Amino acid sequence: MTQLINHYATHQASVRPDDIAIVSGNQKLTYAELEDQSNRLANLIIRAGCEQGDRICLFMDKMPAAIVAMHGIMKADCVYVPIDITSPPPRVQRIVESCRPRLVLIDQAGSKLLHAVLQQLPETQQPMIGSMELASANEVGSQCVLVANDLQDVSATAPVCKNSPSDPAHILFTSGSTGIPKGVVLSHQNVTHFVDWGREYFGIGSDDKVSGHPPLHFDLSTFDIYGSISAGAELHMVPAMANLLPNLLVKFIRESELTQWFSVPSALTMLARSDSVAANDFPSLRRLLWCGEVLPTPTLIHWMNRLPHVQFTNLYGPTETTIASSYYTVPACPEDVQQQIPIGQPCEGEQLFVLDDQLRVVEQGEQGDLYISGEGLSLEYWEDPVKSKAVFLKPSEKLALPQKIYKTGDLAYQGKDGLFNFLGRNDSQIKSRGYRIELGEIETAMNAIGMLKDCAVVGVSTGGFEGTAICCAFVPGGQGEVTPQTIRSNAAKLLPSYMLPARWLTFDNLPKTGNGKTDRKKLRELFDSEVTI
Amino acid sequence: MLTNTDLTKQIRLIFSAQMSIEIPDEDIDLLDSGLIDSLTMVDLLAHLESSYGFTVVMEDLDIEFFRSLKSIADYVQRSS
Repeated sequence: MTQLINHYATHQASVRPDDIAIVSGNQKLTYAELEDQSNRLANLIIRAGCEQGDRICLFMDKMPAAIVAMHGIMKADCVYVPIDITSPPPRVQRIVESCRPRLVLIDQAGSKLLHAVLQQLPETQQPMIGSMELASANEVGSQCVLVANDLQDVSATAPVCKNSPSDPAHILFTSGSTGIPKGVVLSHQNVTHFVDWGREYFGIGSDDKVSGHPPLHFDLSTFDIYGSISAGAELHMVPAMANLLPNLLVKFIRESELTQWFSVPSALTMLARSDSVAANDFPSLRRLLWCGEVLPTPTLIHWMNRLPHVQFTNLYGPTETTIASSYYTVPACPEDVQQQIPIGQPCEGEQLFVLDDQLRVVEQGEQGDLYISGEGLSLEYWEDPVKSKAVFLKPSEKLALPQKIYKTGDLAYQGKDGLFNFLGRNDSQIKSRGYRIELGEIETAMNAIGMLKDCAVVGVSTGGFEGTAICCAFVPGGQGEVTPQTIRSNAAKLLPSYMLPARWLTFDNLPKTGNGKTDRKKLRELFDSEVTI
Repeated sequence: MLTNTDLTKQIRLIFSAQMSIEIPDEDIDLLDSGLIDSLTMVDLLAHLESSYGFTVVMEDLDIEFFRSLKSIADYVQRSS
């Protein structure tokens, strides 16, 4: 039985050493190579002085070397932290300051960002650097304590793991409402529980070809990587350029003959809009699943009509409950574009509850707050007991449930058919283009650039490609010209591009409610009526 | 008929006025610099279609068309 995530690759290397594990362009890695390289890397990591529980940040693209790195880190009993290498340095710096890595591993794509981050860190907080390829090693120079080239000089025998299944495997940082990203700590058993269920439910076997689409810091990525490896399947990395042009993505799916496509609504909507997929296209494809946000029903209808031979599954679940907590395989193409797609029923080992504000279970059909408990429940937020206590609730006099539950912040109801349905958020978190975003983090950045006297950021549903559009109402302040362009250019130094507002309104004073707070409802209405600049 | 230079200026203006993206330098590599990413590409195609009155043929697109303002201008000239 698999107890640690890294056992999957070890098992596959023993039963099918020469089968391909990962394909990325012309680059291929067999299971034997994945096992051999990650064992050697683990030995190097230990030799460099890393100990059980040490954090190791990955400044890497989702490439085969990154998968080797993740396995090497886990085999050394350490915890990997994938960094979004498209984020601006100040945001990444906060993550590095928070998790205090002993070591960072880089490739060429991540080395420039690492440089910018390290320049701002005090001497005492500087991590060791390891390079997974020669080119980036040369850039880093003498600070490099290990280089992928050294792998040949070290033992290929796996070190003895001290970790137990309940020990942390990785930390995923997500948007935080106060401007500081928060780290979700996930254990080995959090991940293996879902992966084992998902592999069985989706029928993933060694003949499958699985897409590796979302970046490493997205938790769906955990499933495409370990779901594929645990089945002895081939993981096909989607080239970065294919995300830019629909025809390139379509070409990739056709040529790699994918059988399982793990996608996100924004990509599916982009392809549907551009009408890039022919009827009965992708003949090898058996399953298309998506998660991350609501897939508009017209988009689903488009896909189900085009690909009648494919099964479509909606997965739902926040990072805090590991990859997904509920699923819904669409039984037939919806006839009505207004019909909502349920988030479905709990995955094995998970429970969903709809509770009122007194933490009592509401009647079936009634709206309430959605809570989740079960095997996927993450350990905590990284070094943040206050936030952890606020959302991971333990049984108490008030909470008449036998186990710890997580407050998702989502509103939901359970239908008469027993299926759960998502209704929206009850706070200022939004989903935009697949990303989970706290509007407070954007406001914090807007205030930090020193160009605005006042600002408020709201989300407005577009029903289109963007899902929710990020809208910024502002009162200009400070020196010089203040336009959406100049604000955007400055905010881009602090925020990743998916957090930058798309719509703007300028005010002399922001509209206020009766008790003096910013009238966000009014702002949403103004943005909705499209009188924006 | 607009010259390639005029078109380049216009397209820079589309980035700035329609998409709030400031292109700091006309020769900048739009892909390597991240100024065009998966989020902005779809917006850009829609703006080019509406501004120059042609329909983007997806099968014909090549990523190199979007490498620079000049290469986008070349693509618009060929398409419209």
